[in-house]
Amino acid sequence: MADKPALTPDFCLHVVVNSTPKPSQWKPPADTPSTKTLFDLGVVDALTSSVFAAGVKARIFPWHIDDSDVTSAPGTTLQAAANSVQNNAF
Amino acid sequence: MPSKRLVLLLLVCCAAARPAETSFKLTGTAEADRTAPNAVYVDYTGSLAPGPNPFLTPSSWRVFWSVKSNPAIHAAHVASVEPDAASQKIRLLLDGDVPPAGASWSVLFNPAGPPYVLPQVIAGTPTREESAPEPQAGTPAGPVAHVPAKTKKSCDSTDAKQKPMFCPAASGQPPDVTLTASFLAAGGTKPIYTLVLKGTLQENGTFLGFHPGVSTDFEINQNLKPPVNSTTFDPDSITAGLSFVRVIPMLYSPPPQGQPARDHLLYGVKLQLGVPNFEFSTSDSSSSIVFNPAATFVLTSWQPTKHSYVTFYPFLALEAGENLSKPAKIEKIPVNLSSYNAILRGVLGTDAALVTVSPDDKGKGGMVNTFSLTGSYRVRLPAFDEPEVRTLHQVTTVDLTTKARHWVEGDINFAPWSFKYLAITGKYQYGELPPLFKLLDHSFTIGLTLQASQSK
Repeated sequence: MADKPALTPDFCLHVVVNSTPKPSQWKPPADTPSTKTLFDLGVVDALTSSVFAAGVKARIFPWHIDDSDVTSAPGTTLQAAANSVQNNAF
Repeated sequence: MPSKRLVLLLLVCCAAARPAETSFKLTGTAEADRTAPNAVYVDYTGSLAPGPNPFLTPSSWRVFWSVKSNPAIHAAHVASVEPDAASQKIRLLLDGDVPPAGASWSVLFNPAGPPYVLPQVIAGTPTREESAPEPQAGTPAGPVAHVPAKTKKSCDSTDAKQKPMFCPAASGQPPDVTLTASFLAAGGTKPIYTLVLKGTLQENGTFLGFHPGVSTDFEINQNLKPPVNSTTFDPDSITAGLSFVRVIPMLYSPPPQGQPARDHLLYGVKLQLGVPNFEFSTSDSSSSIVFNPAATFVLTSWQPTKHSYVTFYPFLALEAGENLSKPAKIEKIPVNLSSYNAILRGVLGTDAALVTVSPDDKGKGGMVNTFSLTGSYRVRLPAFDEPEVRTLHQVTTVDLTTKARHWVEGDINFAPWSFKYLAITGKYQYGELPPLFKLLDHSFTIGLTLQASQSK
């Protein structure tokens, strides 16, 4: 079994950004996770929201998370999405 | 003149010096660290001012907690404070009387000053009880965890479990359930009512990686054209069945260290299995049973402006089944459909949408649809002969062929008011739908749509 990486805020944010359709739109430090939304990174509708949640679930392995526990609405900030991952992964 | 320039330079310097301090604020949320025990993270926005700062002083912070079995309040000492600019969190390392697993906790920020900053209480974000990390040798007992407070369910909640079953279709999402009603009134005729109920509801659980759900498409009086002296409800096309949905994300290799991330055109694939669906038309006593696996290819959207987007999703499906009952007459014309038995169709198509959104007026950073223009095209390619019913100039013809059957649908949806369950809808339809593939010849309807999204 693979070693679990530390579930740090940075790791969760990295997973969230890389699970969006447009990770190239995330340009720190000019962009901040509290202002950048999933919509800005291409999560625009129900279908992309569900693919985003499934992507988070796949990328966070060996941690586990239910799709429904990933905050994935387009208006969500990256910080809120990363928090939902950190709070609900097990 | 030089004095004016000097004053201007001073003003610019003052303005440049202020934003770093004034833009900083705590967002009011905090989470427990799941892997490093005895640490919590406090979210902030803006940038921390360099140098001595009350937000980076351990004595400015305290963490208070209690457990359900004992209402006595405990306080944990903050040993050190570490900001993380990338994730915009302040990490508080606790020592002493730290909260045990299952405790409710809050963070108090109360700096001594000067400089004086207003105190703030930050409630810890509820955490899943089963999410406690695996115990490791040499680490202190349990991390900080929380007992979720019972709160009234609201569509504004970020926690799916705290939402009611249905919410307005917000944040740029199309609704999961729609009920559209419209009517056409013409001189000398009774009004024609049309009703369309569409929906796809999913269950949270999974079966072999697929989410089970129920999909319906119930259309009444779609085929009537004025003048019609009838108000009888005439269900034209009804499709209902159990479906299983699985979403597969594309997992591309991450870019090499130091290289910028790349966007990819294909973002994911949605697989849908209908097990099985029924297609029937009560007006012609025709029905079929169809198994229809389908795949929708989710392509990365194009965002021409900050508040609009264009999506384009190709669609591929197979429809296989059997005709269960065939009518002896269609629109009073005797027909022989004895060779209409097996059903096998390839389905190709695409769904496209142009949507504008606007920031939520509740100021919570959300977005709501204001206008959407969606288009859908399907072509069905039957492998075996299937009926095709056409009425042109009041002459009805019925063919049994393998000709391609096209279906085009365009919708305009406008929700100008704050009650997002209701929208003005304009719809255009053309083409043929199973089971009898009656030609619907350029239908335009305008009506009101009651719409909702399933909370997920």
